[in-house]
Amino acid sequence: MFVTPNWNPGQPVLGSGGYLNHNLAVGYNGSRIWFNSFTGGYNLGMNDILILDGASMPIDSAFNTKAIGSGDAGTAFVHVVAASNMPSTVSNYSWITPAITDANAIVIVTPRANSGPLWMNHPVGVWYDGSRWAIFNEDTSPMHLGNAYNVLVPRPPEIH
Amino acid sequence: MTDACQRAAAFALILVIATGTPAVAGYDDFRRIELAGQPADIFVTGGVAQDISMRVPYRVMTRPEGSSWPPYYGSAGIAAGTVATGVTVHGSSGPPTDSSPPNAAVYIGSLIGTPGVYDAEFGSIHISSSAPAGLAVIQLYSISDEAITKFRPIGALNVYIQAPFFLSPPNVGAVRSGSHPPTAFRMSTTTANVFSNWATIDSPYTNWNRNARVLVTHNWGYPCGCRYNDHPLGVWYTGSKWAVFNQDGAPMPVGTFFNVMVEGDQEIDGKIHLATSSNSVYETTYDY
Repeated sequence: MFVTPNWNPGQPVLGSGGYLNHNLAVGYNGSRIWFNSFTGGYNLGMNDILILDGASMPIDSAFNTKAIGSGDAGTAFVHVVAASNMPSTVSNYSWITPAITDANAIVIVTPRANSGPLWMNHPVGVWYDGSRWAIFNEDTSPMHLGNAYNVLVPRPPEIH
Repeated sequence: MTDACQRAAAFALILVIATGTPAVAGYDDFRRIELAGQPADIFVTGGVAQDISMRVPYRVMTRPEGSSWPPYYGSAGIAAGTVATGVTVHGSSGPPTDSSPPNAAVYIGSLIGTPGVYDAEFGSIHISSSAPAGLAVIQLYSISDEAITKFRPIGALNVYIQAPFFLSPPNVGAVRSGSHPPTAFRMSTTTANVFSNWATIDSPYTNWNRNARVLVTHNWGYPCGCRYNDHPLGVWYTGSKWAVFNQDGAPMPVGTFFNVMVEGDQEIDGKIHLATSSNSVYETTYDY
């Protein structure tokens, strides 16, 4: 899942939102049950949106989300920070693996909380080093080995 | 877009649906209809009334449990709908007459036949001349019960309506596809679009479209923007455009970049999630 806070969302949650000055991550809890209004049944497993500094989630916070299923694996995947995809283990960036080499690629990333939220409380961005894209900590702190990030490369429209 | 291009787009749309594989996992308890639909995109130029043909292929599954229908009746139906202004979905039996199902969905057709048989239903998407530029999402549903109360989302079609005289904004670059503006792009911050701690996003799919769903990631830039932006980000609607902003109020730097992805507000694979007292505990809010 991918997420961006929305200060004043439109429909269907018109009027909510507000500031959310925290770094975020997403997670997955397989034990939570949710009611599926489309089928009238209950489904197992819910995505979570977490504040990484431990602050309480403000009520009425709004988020733009996008979830990618397994069928979209070609454009979305999980990147795991490893020594093999960093210049050094104290670098503030990690080359996205598998590599995205197109300089014109549009890359969207969201941290995955279940890979160690204690070390992910940093704003992140992406950059192209001339041959491939990487995820970096904006505050220049080192990336943490084992931390994972959802990576999305939106596909171009199929029809022109 | 020319008429010929629109016809080609509509035809290609049919092919995308017809050759696709089920894109939606889960909902096992009502998998009576297997539809070969998947999200697809189609582009039109606004300002004129137009219709797009829609073909929804499916495979008949076993009939609903406890059904009083004859044994050869497999399933209940296919529906489609949208909440987009100026856009309506028409079923094979005529214009929409019922606005109560999700997203003003209307019947595209009934699914009857021997389980296992492949067939298709036909409908159309009408775009009025007054439909505003932006993204109209056509949500497809299967109807899984005879009472027509259980709608299961099975796919979405994205109809991108461009302004009639759209000109590519100077601050939107990177990926373009064909002759249409991209729905995922890189924007740069300039003196023209930066105001205080925010910068406006200029896209025909988000301008004047408060219901757009925008996701952003900071891009260091290539060629090098070389500017950190060590602040949590968010997006907000200014009243005419969406903007990316620094949550802590820090000034938005000029000369940096953001990757932007535009989504509809009613797509099956995403939504606007609202944190409430019933779905939030401590630092977490739950979203399905």
